[in-house]
Amino acid sequence: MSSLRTFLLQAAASGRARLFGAVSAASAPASDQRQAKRAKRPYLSASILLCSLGLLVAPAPAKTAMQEYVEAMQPGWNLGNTLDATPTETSWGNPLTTQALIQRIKAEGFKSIRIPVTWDAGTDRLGPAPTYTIDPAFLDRVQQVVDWSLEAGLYVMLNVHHDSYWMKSMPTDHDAVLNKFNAIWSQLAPRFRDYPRELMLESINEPDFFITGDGAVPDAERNALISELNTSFFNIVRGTGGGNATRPLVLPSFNTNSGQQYLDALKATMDSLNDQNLIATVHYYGLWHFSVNIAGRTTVSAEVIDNINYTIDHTYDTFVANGIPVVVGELGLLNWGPTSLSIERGEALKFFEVFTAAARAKGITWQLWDAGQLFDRTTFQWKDPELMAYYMQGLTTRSTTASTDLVFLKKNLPVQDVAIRLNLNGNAFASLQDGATTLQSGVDYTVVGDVLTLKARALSKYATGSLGEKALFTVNATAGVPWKLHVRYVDAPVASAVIDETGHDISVPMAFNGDLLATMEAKYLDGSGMDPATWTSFKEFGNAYSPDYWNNRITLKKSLFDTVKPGVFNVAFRFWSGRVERYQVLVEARSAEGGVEYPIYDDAIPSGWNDWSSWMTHDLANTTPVHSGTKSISITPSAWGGLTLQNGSASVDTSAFNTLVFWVNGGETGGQYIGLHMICDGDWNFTYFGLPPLVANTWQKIEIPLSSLGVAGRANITGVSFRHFRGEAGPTFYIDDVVLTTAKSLTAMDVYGDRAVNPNPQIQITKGGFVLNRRTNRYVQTVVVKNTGATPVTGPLYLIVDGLSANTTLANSKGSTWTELPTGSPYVQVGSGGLAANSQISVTLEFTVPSAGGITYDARVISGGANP
Amino acid sequence: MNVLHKTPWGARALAGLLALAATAAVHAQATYNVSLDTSSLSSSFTGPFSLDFQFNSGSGLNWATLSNFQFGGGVAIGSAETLGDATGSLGSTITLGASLSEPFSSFYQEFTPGTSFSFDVSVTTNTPWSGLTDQFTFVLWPVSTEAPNGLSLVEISLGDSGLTTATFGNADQGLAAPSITAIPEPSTYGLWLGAFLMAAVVTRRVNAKRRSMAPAASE
Repeated sequence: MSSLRTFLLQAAASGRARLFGAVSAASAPASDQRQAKRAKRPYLSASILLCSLGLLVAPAPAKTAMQEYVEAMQPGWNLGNTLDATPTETSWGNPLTTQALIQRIKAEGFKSIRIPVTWDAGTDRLGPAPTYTIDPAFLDRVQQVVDWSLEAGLYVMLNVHHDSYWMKSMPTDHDAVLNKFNAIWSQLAPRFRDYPRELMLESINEPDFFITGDGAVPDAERNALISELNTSFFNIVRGTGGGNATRPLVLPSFNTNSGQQYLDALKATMDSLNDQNLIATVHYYGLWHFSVNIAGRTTVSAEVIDNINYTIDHTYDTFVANGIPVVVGELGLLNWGPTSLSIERGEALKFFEVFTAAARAKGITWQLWDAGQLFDRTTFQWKDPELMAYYMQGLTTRSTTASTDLVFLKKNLPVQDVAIRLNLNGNAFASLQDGATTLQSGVDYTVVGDVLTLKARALSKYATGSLGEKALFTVNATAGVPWKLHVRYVDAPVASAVIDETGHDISVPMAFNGDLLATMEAKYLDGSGMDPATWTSFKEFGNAYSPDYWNNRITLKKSLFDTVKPGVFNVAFRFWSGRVERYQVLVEARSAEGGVEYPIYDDAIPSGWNDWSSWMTHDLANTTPVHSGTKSISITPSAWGGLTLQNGSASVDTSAFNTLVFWVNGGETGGQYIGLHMICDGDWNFTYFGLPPLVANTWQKIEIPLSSLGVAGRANITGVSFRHFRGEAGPTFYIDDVVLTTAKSLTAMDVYGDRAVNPNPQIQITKGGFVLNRRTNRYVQTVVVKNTGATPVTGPLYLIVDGLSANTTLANSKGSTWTELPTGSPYVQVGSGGLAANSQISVTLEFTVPSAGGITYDARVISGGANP
Repeated sequence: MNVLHKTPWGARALAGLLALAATAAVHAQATYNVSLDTSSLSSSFTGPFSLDFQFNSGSGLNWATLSNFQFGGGVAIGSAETLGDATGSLGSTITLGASLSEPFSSFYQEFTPGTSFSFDVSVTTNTPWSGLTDQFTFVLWPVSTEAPNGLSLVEISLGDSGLTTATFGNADQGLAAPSITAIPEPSTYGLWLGAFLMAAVVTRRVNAKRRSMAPAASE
């Protein structure tokens, strides 16, 4: 029943009760009766109105047997990155699944398990066409895990999982893909034909298609293809009869996407199948920008909540309201787990709190995606019990959250009261604890409406000593999981200089001083966007940058430099305290320079070097093609095969070399995926460097800075290993002229980074006090900008207001920064031109009246450029 | 010989007074008399006008005290409006406080100007944190919005560069800049005077005692 309808019916019932009260009062004196009637008229009217409205609200659909089945599956858990891993069950880091694990999952309160299985793993797991025979041993293993799950009392969803990868080519390789898909289900369906009804089968995980490369397929074709796959799956399974005649079957939308156009297409397929035992499935990882932390989406904003509601409401309206249950087969945040830093922990908790509440309201079942990041499959413990508490609490009631779970006390600044808006979610505030101590209302904190104010009195004792997290406050409400507030004592983060080169990750030394990185902006000096994701200055956490709090550095990822242009780009590290550390990076191209070379292969390997190759056919004396001389190395790789050349005797000091250079040819076919890593004194654990797919019949020169291979400056390089990075045999390719050289790679560029400073250090800024202009109701402040130097400063001058406190806005701003970082800072123009030597000019700032507290900001002046 | 040990009462009293003086210095105040010629105002525009005393202490460390209001023939009208931590009246003393959560306070009172207006203002001088300026401001507003706008006439600021005072005229209102004159802080001077007097007494007593203990000079 919808909440609106519940409200209307409750309100109508309330009105009727009052009306009945009037009838029973008939024996009262006439005046009292008249008074009572007058008093009841509004209720009567309201009752009629509400009853009328009640008639307009459609009755909730009767719950179908399949809806009850799916609700009994709540909550669910994914045995992720296990039987779907390739090439083996343990290849992606999880241990072999045990019966004890399955039983423990059941004991933890889960009612269903999704078992993702990749049937074609590029190994002998799946035989060749046309039969595509599944390896009996692997099928037995899958069946064993299914059996354990059913024995544990779990509902079980078995699927075809990462096979969706090879199915992407269906638009151009239709028959082969469909035949293979059908062959797999034609073996699975009879195998599980007589299994209990608690086993359900899911046709395919996240089906996606492309034409060539990443070419997009029109929606109509996408929907037609997934409909064809779902229908074929349906007919194969139902055709085996027995338990499969009525077995619940799970059908996904295109890419398990909840876009209405894909839901409608899936609904049409289900209608055409006209079967009572179908379940619709979508996956949900949140608004993409939030889920990966890009474009500045760092918090559970209205936009993020709207996206949750869109998914829930649209799947409900399309399916549940029409008698078809829905399972969110995978629930999570992309690349996020309890130990991840990409999404601030409190924001992640809020996200799941909101989602579980929305799903519960609409009777939609979810299954957590756990690739090993949630449940420790060795210790059988949740890696984050509090996170699990939020999931489980969401099955019954809402929990209270807040605008933040971070409280910052800034060093060298007075401790102020801190106001936090509570998301009570239907609960009432109960108490506040500092550790085990219950704090005093009115003394240590106040609660007015939904605003919790932590008094400076309760916080000031933590503004001393070492920086970092100092205390953990707990907000207790009348129901749900208590909300935690992390009190941190912080100072301004300070970055340091770095000198490096492109081609690999670059570490910027960073004194975090207790603060936490929220996001990072990067733009070229002229304000143009830079890769990756030129459309936003806020880069993707983890893909373009990541903080390392333990080693005091922020890593600027290789992706930031892959297509970087020579010149300067600006960076703004934005922290959760609101502070911003500006950084500037100079990238310089190199001019050609010679170097001393040390050959590793030049028609032959040097004396003392050995050939340690494995899983590949190769010839170190191949005669055609060759790049130079008379010989090259030909390689015909098996799955994951490698060519390894090692110096087994003479010791060579390699510390002076800067670059590995070689030539490679893709042979008749091309397209091979080759990577390599260096070896130092028998140690193989160095950075693996992947090459782009090789080009057919073309010699390509490859230059790789040794810094990109993690061996720059190493005196003991003793080998190199080339590897075919595919789990299948590949066509022949060729390598020639492998050398170490002291020359620096011209494909790399030099990188110099340092803190950004005011471009005009001779400019001095003096802020005046604030005055309330009663006529404009603005706080007015005079700021004096002085040129303390002996030379003029070129105009125009702009005063930029960075980090303005959230309680106000700059009312007379000329605009917000776009070229300059951080973006979004308001600015005003100072005067109309430049500033003569030893002269000053005043500028007036007008701020809106702050909602509470003082107005704070950092001011800087830029000069001589375009609009900031 | 330790003279102070022999005269502990004197040492304690002296130390106490010096400590008091030092404390007074920590909570040092700067006091000024502000005097404004309002004769042109009363003849040029239709009143009434409003006196607006503002204090903005973003640091939460300072406050202002106003007293000794002289209207020069003018008179206050009605009751005052206050914002933030503002208390008192024009008849006696007004205190403008500030806290971190409510850094702005204001005392706003309509009045009919006479020929002059003056008052004393005393502000504490605790150094605010870097980048912030605590400021007392005096503005004279016309109640009618048709009349020329109010502008700051007096600003006493305490920022990174220490305490500064500034006065401004309002040409639109025909007001010349008021005069601002520093007034010695009586309490501080009193304490220091007490300390010096006590030191003199102690010195005199010690010298007297030395004289009494000295051997008689041989003739």
